Amino acid sequence: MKFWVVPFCVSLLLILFLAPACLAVDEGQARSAMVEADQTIKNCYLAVAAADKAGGNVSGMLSVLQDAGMLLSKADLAVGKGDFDSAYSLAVQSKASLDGFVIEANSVKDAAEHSGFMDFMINIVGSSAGTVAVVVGGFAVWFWLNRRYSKVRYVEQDESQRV
Amino acid sequence: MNLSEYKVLFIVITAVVALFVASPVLSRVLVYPRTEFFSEMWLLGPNHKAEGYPFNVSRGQNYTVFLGIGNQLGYCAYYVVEVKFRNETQSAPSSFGPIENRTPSSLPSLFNITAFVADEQNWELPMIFSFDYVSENKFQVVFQSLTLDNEVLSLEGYVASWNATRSVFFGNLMFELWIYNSQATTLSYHSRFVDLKFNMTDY
Repeated sequence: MKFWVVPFCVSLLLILFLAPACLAVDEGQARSAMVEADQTIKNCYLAVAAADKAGGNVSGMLSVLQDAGMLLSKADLAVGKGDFDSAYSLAVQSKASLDGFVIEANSVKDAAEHSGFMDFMINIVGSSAGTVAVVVGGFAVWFWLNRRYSKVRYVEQDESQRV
Repeated sequence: MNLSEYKVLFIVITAVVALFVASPVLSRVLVYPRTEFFSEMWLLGPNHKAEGYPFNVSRGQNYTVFLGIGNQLGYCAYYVVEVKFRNETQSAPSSFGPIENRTPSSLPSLFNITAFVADEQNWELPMIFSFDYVSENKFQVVFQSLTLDNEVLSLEGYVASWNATRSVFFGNLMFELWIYNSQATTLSYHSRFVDLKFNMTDY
């Protein structure tokens, strides 16, 4: 047997025994990941609430947020059971599932605000202006017709008097 | 031609056209404004009706109910439903008095269900649950776990004593509604809960 085989085997065994302990997540790391995930969910909620208020369609985004929230609840449950590896993994999954969420929510909000502005211009400003135009136009046409037919009547009366 | 004969007709036509053009504005202005803002919470039985709720419960048997939330708050809401379990003597959420003064059960939450609901929308979740418990003697049931949608929730330390008056081992599964307050950045009890009362049978 070669001289390096025994130290090599001992080192390998040590690595095999110690690696899980080194890689294992402690309670602090799990809770820290959960706090981060919780804060991300709250930030995403505020963004999606703003998009909803602007009139955007947020049903798909709420579903994503819902799933992230459930993952965090499961992480909380895992912490209660002392399963910090699972808790950490679930918290990380929860946070990762919301990558790019705020940007998407903001773009939905911007699109909804633009659409709301166009809607306001057409349905409120356009409609109001159109109504005023119809009423004013109606009066104008009426006065124009009145004046024209009173002139015609005057000419007809004048001609009949001459005859 | 006498124009004054057509005066009424002209006014009517102008008014009809003006109303037609003004209809988009009127449809918004003449809507009665919302004055009541609230949340709804409900629990339906296995047939999606308010009937057939489980009462006589057997160990290990699956039961299905539907938990629902309706949002009429005027904004998209972030709700958390805290699942709690109690026996006859443990703290229950208060049901009487002004709604803003009602308090939740002081028991710890076994599991939190998150729900994000847009304004004027409903959210519903079918839930399958089962209990694991043992009858320690004729007068006491000792709970071990509650399985809710494949999540095993520990009920260690929960016991139900025999109620001779009602002839039941009383168990009470509660769903309390909490809401996220973005100003205070905390969850607060939303003064609403639904619950299921059980008799933990020995079979």
